[in-house]
Amino acid sequence: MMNFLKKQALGAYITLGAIVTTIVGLILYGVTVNWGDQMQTANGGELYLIASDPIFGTITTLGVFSVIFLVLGLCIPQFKLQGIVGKVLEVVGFVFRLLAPVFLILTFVGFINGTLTGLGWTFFSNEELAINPGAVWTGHVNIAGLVFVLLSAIIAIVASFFKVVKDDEAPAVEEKPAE
Amino acid sequence: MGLKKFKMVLGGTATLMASLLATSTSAYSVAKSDLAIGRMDGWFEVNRDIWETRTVNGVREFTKDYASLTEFADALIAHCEKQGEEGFALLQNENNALPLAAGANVTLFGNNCFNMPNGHTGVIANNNAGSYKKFITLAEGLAATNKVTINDTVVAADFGGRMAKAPSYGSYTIPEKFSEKDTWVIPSNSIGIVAVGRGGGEGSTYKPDSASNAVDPLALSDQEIAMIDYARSHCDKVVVLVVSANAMELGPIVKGGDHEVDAIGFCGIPNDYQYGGIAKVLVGLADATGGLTDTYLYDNSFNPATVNMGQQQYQDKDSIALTQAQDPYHRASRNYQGNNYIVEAEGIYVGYKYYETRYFDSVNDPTGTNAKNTIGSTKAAQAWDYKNEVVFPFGKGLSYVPYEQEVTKVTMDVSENGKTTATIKVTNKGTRKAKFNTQLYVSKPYTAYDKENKIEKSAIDFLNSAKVEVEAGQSKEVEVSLPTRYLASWDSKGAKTYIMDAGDYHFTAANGAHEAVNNVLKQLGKTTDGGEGTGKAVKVNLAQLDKTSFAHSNGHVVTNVADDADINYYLPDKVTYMTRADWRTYPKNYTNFVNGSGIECEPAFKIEDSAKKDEWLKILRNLQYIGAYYDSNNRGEPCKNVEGIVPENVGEGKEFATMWDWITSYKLRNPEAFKDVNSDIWETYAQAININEAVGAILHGGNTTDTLSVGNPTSAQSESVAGYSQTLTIVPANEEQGIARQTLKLNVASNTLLGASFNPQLAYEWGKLEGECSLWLMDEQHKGPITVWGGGLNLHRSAYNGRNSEYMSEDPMLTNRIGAAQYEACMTKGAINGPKHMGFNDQELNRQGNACYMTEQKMRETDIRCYEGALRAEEGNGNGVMMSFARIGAQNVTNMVGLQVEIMRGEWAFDGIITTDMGQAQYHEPYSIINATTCQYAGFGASDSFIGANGQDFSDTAKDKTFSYITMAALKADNYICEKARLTNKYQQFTLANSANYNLRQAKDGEEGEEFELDVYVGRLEHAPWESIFDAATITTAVLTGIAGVAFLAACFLPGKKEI
Repeated sequence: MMNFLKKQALGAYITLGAIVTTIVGLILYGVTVNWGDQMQTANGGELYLIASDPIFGTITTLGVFSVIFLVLGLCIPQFKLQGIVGKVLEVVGFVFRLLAPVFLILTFVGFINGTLTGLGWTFFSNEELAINPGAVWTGHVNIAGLVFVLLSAIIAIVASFFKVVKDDEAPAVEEKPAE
Repeated sequence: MGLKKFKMVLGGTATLMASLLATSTSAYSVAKSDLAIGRMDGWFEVNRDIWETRTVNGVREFTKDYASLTEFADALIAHCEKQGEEGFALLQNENNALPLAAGANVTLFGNNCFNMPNGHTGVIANNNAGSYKKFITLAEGLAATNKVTINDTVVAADFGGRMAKAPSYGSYTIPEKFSEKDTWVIPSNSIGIVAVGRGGGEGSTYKPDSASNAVDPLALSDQEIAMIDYARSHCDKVVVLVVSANAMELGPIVKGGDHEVDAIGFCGIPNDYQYGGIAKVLVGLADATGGLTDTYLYDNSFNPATVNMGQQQYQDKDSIALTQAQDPYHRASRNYQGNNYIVEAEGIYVGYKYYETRYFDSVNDPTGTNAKNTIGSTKAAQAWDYKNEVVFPFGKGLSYVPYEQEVTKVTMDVSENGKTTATIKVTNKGTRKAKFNTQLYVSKPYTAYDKENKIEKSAIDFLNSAKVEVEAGQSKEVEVSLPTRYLASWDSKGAKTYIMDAGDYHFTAANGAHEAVNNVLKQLGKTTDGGEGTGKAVKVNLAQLDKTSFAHSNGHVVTNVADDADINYYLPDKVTYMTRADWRTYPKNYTNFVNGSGIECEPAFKIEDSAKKDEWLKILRNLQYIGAYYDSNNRGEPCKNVEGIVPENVGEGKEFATMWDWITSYKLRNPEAFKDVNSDIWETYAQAININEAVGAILHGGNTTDTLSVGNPTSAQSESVAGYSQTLTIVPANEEQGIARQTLKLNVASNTLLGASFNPQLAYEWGKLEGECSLWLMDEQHKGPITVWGGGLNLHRSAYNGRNSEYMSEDPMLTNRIGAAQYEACMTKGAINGPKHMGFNDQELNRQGNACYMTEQKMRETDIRCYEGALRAEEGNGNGVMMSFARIGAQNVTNMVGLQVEIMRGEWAFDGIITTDMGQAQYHEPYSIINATTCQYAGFGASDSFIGANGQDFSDTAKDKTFSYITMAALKADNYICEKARLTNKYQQFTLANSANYNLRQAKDGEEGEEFELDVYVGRLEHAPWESIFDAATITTAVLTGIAGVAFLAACFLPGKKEI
């Protein structure tokens, strides 16, 4: 176990952080959708959101794939194989690490788009409506969720600049002159 | 190889760039979405409409009255001041407290003296905080008169608790705070002016008898009473000003009350500049000519309408809900908003029509009518007595100069378009020239036929009014007229149309409804309570019951359209509506709340008990029309014209590039046909609209009128009952001269004061100015029409509605006459203007879907009548209207064929735009709103006007992105709804074409046309400059992603030094 941990490079820890923040963001997203579903932002206001709107299915899919990509991006580099297979595996691992923030960005934008009406009515209505306290709570959870998802994307991007697993301490190889 | 060394940097860069690429593309798609595109265009000041300046020959149809922006702005501000001047109503004036004597010392008490009204929607004072001309508070208005000295030891900071928004039907704490300050020095001869007020606001409804610091939220609070008492004990005289659109309970401060003051005045809810005019009246620079628009009571709880405001839900409301499988469209969300209801059991007896009629009967026939029964009396177990109920009657407004008004002659033309005209002689009994308010009333016969057919008649009805200036000691005659149809009564049982009863019609002129009813009583030889005017009335006798004169209107049969508005339609004999035949029918309480009247709640209704429950449920689910594609009982005919039929001479390279060019050409070629929505050319135009766009444009009405492939311009939208909500630059910035830009917000009217002016001529002036706003906005800022929901014409059914400040009065005819004048004038400027929120927006509580059960007589003679003058083709001819969220009976008003198609489009010949209030997907169900000719489903924004991929997508699978069950296949199967959609689009396009956006007409006989330059709409910008930012970001990040990615792959696969 100690050896395994010793092998982990900075990228692994940052990716792990991204996984945690993504999961927190997705939980907050779930709470937002659950609470905001069919909720009137105010007496006479718009509904916060309608959970059956296809956009929320899309966001959920994107979010789940983000986590999967982050996990794969963390796991695949653990297999250090030699030769072309190792190189391909390295590239595949990296593709997942590249796709993870892309999907997180798409999750973030979808999350904003899906909840813009609810957020707008709750926090930016210029009609002096008496906002339903439940909508305000949902709005706060919504904003926290957005912050976590955005943070996850940024962390995942940062993680991609670092190796997940330290390079093997290879035995000294006698260098041969080029033929 | 060096690349290897940078492998992680390259990979990270590829990731960063890919993420930025995702950000750019997804943000672009959001920016172009319905919700954001309007805002994005606004930020970057992009107008997507492309206009071309053409030289034309003809005459400008709509012209401005002012030569420059500053001239116009000054006129607008001066008019608003006049609204204050003419709307201020003097209700009590003892000891000559008013007008304030020249040089008087005045001490101001209360937040409302120093601040603008707060907590309202629509009429939002404080808009013009700076720039061209700052708003005026009462204190500033008084100071500006230079007639009085304001006691400067009492200042704004001494008062806490500013006017605040009304609650959402919960307990309320009246915010005003009062405590004496050590710094105050009040001379003994000072006149104390105390201003008290109430907020309002969207979504707000006061709850009767529910306040933490008063007996009622509209009663005076402990702190307000303390403030008034302080003024009474420290000032020579005390004037209380009421800044409220919600009739307050002022019993304690009127003459004889425990906290009696010298004078009381009504200020309504002033907007930015009205206090300037009110101050002029207070100091005597202008005459007091306003009248009270609502009856002020000792206890609002006993108002019969108040007994039945609030909420109730059906016992078996769960039966309204359907499962997804049961829903005809299998919708995932099914919020039909059908659970709540109220019963408007007071019938036509709203406000003074109840109090003055019951008073009339208590004098004329107390035993036969049981008018003196204890029911409804504020004094427990005591006989009902007018003097215990009413503080100030409707219409009351004292004058500084004594005068008399008397009807001398009446002509009553009882025919479809006939008019009733009264000549009123106004005599100035004072010593100086003065302006007076004349009000015309009628008392109609209440007959055996009425009783038999359950027709109700108010003992007195306000008809119309005018202002007249008369020299000292002189008399002047003024003619006041109105269409006779407004004297008719709805008979839903016998004739099933409007009738005029046989009998005596007593016409009288009076200062308020109570004086009017006393005049009539005196004519009948009765002893009154003494509150009469001249005691004179002119009698016109109608020999026979007339059931035919108003049975047709604009070629349309006028008959019952709302039998089902009455709850008794579904549950026979469930409700007894109040009748003057027996006042013991004072309403039962059908809500779930017992207010101060103590009337216990009746059990809630059960849908299951109705023999018509299926019909009832269908309506409550907003399924007035189920698409033929989804309705196995009504398959209908397939659509006959899917793609639109365009005339041969229209198209690229042809005589007319677009249908819009084609139709607007008729402005010169055939002006009569152009102005007739039913003409052949408009039918041809409608048939050119394909069904994808015809339906899409309605569903995505949003906040703009969309451009269709017929090539029409868009119309931006503006929303404020006080006028266009845009800000106009009056003086542009000039850096060289050191001049900063000066602007003016244009929504500056006060509906409450406009109503209280009792002056349709003033409303006409406002309508012209409101219309002129659109011309200036088009010339200076927008270049294209702007639709404004710029008038508020609902009835004040009860004092507790948070939006009363957007509306005018408890009286439908006062609202009708003011509205008719406003819209008639506004239309002369080519504006697109519609009032709101038509159809019993009587309370904000549960406003979305609240079912208001009532008789058809009430429907036609109260709230709907308020709008009739503004929207009827032969009167105001307004070209738009926003409907309310409410239901009339169980019918959502925007789905209600009886109201919108039969009454509005038919009887009134209304050919303008009908919009929903903010669209609610399952409440404003597309098929049903199209069926009722609703032109647009309102929303925050809209960039498209189609279903499927684009407006030319006719594939069966094309479906709407919001309403997925609206597919091309469904539309193709339903000729009926397609033609309804075309008809509805036609109304919208007709309105656009006849507005000032195409400002050209033929020269008339004797008139010389001229060549002038006209901006003509030619198309729409598909790609705005700001979109290039996203394009550039997308291309750049894509390229960089590619480069970094390839480099990363190279770093992975190319051999390193060690591998070589």
